[in-house]
Amino acid sequence: MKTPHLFPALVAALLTVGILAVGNYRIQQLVDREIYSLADNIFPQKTVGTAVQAAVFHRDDLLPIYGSSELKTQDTFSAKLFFKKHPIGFAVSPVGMDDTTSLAMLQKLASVGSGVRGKKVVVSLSPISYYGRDMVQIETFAGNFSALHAIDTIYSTSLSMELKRGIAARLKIYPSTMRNEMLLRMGVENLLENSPLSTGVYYLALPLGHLQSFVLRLQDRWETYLYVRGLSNTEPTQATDPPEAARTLDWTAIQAASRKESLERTNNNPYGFEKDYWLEYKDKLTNSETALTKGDFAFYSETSAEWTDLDLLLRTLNELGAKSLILSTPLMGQYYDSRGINAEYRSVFYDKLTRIANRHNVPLRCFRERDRDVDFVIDQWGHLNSRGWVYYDQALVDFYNGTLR
Amino acid sequence: MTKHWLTSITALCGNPWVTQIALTLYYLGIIAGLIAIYGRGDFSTPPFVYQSF
Repeated sequence: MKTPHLFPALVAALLTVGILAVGNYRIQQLVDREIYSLADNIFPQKTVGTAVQAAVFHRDDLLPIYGSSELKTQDTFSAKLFFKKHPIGFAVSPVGMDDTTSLAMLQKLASVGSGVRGKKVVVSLSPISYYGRDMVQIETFAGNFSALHAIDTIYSTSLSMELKRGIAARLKIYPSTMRNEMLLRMGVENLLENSPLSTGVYYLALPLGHLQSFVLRLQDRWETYLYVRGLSNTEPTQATDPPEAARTLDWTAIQAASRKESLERTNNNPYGFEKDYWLEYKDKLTNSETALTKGDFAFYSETSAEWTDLDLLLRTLNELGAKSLILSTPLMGQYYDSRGINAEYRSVFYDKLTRIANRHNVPLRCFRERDRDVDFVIDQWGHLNSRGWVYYDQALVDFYNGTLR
Repeated sequence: MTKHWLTSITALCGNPWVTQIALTLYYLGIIAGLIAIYGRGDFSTPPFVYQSF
């Protein structure tokens, strides 16, 4: 035999592929079986991976919400907990970490890719990103970065080249996150160069991008498996059953209960700040040196890169074929009035947000009519108070039932 | 006794089926080793830093 190693090497390779395929399938079965428990929780692998996020989109009785730290609350009126106590026929699956902005969200959704098509998805925005800073800092963006999501976005076949170029331009602002990702860097640079040669190189690298994504997905599934196994060893299984059938809710009574709870939580200041937060930051919040100024507000409302990222996110949702809803908290009108940032200034934010949502034909609930309420949010970062959550809950029910468009 | 074993092993090595199976196991071992070393993904993110107040 001239090549005695060829046949054994081929058999070993095929056996490996077979073992990986079976393992992958079994892990997917496990994720599907535990999906209600996994959907319920926010844990790192769910946020930086794709296995759980994609599995959530397979279930019509799960509504994914992409957002930020506001989703981590343990408020009993928050959608995650509220719909357990008041069954409405579906459960929510929160996805997000601290300061997860539109640029990170769009990559998560692009990573799920065609699984999003025709599915409902909710995006929860934090307004301060649009008027309180020019853009998310590198350290913060890095804390939300996922190589899998970035590779899937840049080498996506579901998104247009023009959209991918827009996303690449934004990713290039954060080069350190791509330092160890050669294919990702190459993809970003080739997209941005936009010459016939670079486009050709991009398409040549496309299969490699998909191969890297395939490997990262296998690793993601393995990490998810380890998480599920650890969960079943340490905690009694929770929320493994599908959500109960919908019951009629008395929203008026729920609003009244949430209002009482909200006001108790914030009753040491006239603006609606959570009591401990106010005690800790009162000086900074009322000092012109440290608090947001009228000039800052006006400048960032016009120039923040977050607007560009929101535009990219809505384009991504539309190109993926999602049925999406944008939720945003109102601003702390009473507090900003006291800082001289009056309703006219604040309307710049609401108007611009509405214009962008309308341009992409995406329904928006930004609750601008509740701008001066002191029981909607508990701080300027957009963390919701109980009453704010009830408004969100109602919007989610309307959206899920197709009555909010 | 040792001679008997050596003779048996030499005879086995001469068998093409045994060689093929041994080589397959050898390659499987290499692949398993590579997966064990490099297969585990790194999905860790840097510590989160909140932007200034």
